Amino acid sequence: MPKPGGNVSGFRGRLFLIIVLVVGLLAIIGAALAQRHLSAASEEEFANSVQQHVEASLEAHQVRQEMLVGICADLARQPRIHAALEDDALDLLYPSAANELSPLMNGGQAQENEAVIRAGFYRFLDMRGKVIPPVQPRLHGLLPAGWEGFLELPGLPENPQTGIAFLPPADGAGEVVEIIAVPVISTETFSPIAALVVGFPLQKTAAAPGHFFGVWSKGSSLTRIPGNLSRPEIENRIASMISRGGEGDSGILRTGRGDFRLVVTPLNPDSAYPPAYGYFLSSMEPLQERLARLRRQVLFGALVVIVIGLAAAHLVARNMSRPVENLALASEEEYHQRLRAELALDATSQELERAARFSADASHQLKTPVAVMRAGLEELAVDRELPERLRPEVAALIGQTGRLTRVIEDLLLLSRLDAGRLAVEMQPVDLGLVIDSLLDDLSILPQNEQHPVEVEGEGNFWVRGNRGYTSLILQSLLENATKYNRKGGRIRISLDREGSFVACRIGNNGKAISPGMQARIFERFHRGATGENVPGYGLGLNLARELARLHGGRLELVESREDWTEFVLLLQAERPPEEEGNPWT
Amino acid sequence: MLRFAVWAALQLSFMGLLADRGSTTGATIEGTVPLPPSPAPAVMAKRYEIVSKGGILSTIPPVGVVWLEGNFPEEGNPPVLQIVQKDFVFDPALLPVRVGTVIEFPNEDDEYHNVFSYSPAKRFDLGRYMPEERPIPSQVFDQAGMVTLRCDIHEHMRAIILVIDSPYFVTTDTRGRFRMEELPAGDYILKAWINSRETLEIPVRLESGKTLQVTFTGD
Repeated sequence: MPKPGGNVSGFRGRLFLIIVLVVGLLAIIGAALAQRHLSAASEEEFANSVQQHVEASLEAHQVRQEMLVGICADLARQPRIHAALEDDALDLLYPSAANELSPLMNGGQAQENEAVIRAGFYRFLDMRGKVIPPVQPRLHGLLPAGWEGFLELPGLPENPQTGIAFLPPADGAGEVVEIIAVPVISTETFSPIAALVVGFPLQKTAAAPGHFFGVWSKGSSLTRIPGNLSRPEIENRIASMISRGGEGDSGILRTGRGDFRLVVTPLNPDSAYPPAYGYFLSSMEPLQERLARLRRQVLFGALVVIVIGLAAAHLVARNMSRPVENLALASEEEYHQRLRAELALDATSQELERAARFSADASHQLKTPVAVMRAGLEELAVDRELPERLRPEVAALIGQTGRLTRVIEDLLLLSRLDAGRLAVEMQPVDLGLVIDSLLDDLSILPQNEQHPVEVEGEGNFWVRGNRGYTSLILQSLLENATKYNRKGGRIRISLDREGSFVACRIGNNGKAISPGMQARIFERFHRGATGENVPGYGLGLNLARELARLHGGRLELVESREDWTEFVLLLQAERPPEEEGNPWT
Repeated sequence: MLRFAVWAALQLSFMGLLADRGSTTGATIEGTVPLPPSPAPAVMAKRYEIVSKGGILSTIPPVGVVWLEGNFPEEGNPPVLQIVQKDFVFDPALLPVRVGTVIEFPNEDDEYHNVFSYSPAKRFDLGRYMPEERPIPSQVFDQAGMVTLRCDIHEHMRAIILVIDSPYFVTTDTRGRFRMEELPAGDYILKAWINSRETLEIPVRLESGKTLQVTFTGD
């Protein structure tokens, strides 16, 4: 039998472990979900902020471009410029323009709270879109030799055109310029007669830290590449984004110097000048830092949850396992009690076995001397030389040795019963027949006075049993009924069916057994208090009861009143064997 | 300002009378020049506006200028004429003058005007001035040709001065009819300015006391 107490702490541990596992799993899943959700939200927020920045920058650029176009269109309407072009006075074109544009060239257009707008150069295009060369270029902004070609257009535009180009160094460092070409519309013909092209240095967008704005045109970046980033990498990426036809396209540029969000957007769509694109690089470092911080926070949260879960699991496991532990404790006590009981039982059974063995041994050892003694006495009884006066004495001794033999045999049988060693071969037994044969024997007993015997019960009463032992039980009962009967009292035997049993009742006219005695009459070596002169040795009823139990039946005292004592023997009923036939009938 | 105009008109009529009386042997030319039809009903005030159509400056309603070209002796200083800037237009919008004429440009608006010309016949720039400007800004037109007047401030303002190297010129009516009297006899070229791009010419032989009918035809 397994010891129950040892598994109680194991139960609590397992419960604790399961709760911890579940809580931990939930915490991990929750943390993963939260992390994913928050990451996505952060990334979206970052993308939105970048987009906002881009849109704001673009809007600023557009507003500025529109303003520049407006300024240029105003200049292109100046009467002197028209006069020079329309009144056959080309020689006065650039001088007049110098007059008109000098404020713009000197940045004098700036008003309060407005950024200074300063033009870098300007030129006029003729009807074919070619640059009309100025006489004194220095007055109108010096341009590197041959670079003027960039300003030219396939023809005169009907509408303002914008372009962005890198102006290589002429005097100082080169710069990126925004080019605005506005047509000069004749006040006479209302068609373009020339175009005014003005170059403005590209406004440095006030980029927030981490953001960079650049201009890309004709396959390369016109502006400086920020930081230590690789120029071809960025240029190729932009080129591929543009070739995909993405307008306002965005992507993530992963470089050795960190990740950037790259947004490319056209700056001069539908212009006659080569298309230029603004590109915005936004370092993803803040986002990544934020994500890392978020990860740490989520991780910390998960840990806190797990720790709380541990504590909760501990409490819950303790509370939940308490009844189980109590139960286990109780069962442990019970176990110990049972163990003790079993030990005691074991000891008892050993004792019993020892006692039974002792009885068996003792009986066995006694049988031989008694047999020898009886043989000697019988020899003595037939000796002719034995004086006649001794003969009754010897005969009495022989009778006593007979009793002794029976006692020894009963003891041996009982000790076998006690030790459980009695193997009984069961067979159908006709109880009526057994009784008849017993009555026959009883009638020839010489020493006892005769008691009239009545037998009741019609039909066959077959029981399952051993013929010898069944006979022994009934013999015991009959001897008992004879011994304790009053003088001249009768004996009544009745056979009857009670359910699956056959009941054999044996009554006599003996004295009443006191209620205190009734419980003890089946004890070993107990003899009726009334009969000191009654022969017997107090084993008969005990042996009869043990044998009845061995047969799966029972022997009980039914009643004991004045002048009537009745026992009942219940044995399992059995169908009579038909094929074999009954050798007695 | 009105005083000047009246004065100029009187002077013109006086000169006409003198010429009429001085020469009885003068020839006369009358005829028509081809003008586009007047778009508007009869105009009460004789006041033209320079318009451009297809890059060609002309007047609305259309009028032409006819003059006799040849070698004529100098006839002293021509009178001083005026082109007034009033209601943001030049008045008159078309003014034929003889070479050497001084033209004053009074400003009768309460605004700055800036009269200038980039025309090869006369380049000038009077700068900005208000009506109070004295003396009245003026220019001598001493080279024959067409001068386009512009205002640097008001880009729509235009006027045309035809500087003619001849004392004999006349402005047609809106149907193109003209008549010149008291002309010296001889062989000349009669020219007719239709618009900024079109000037017609016909050789004429003038005889004293006779009236020559001339009809210009367009190309």
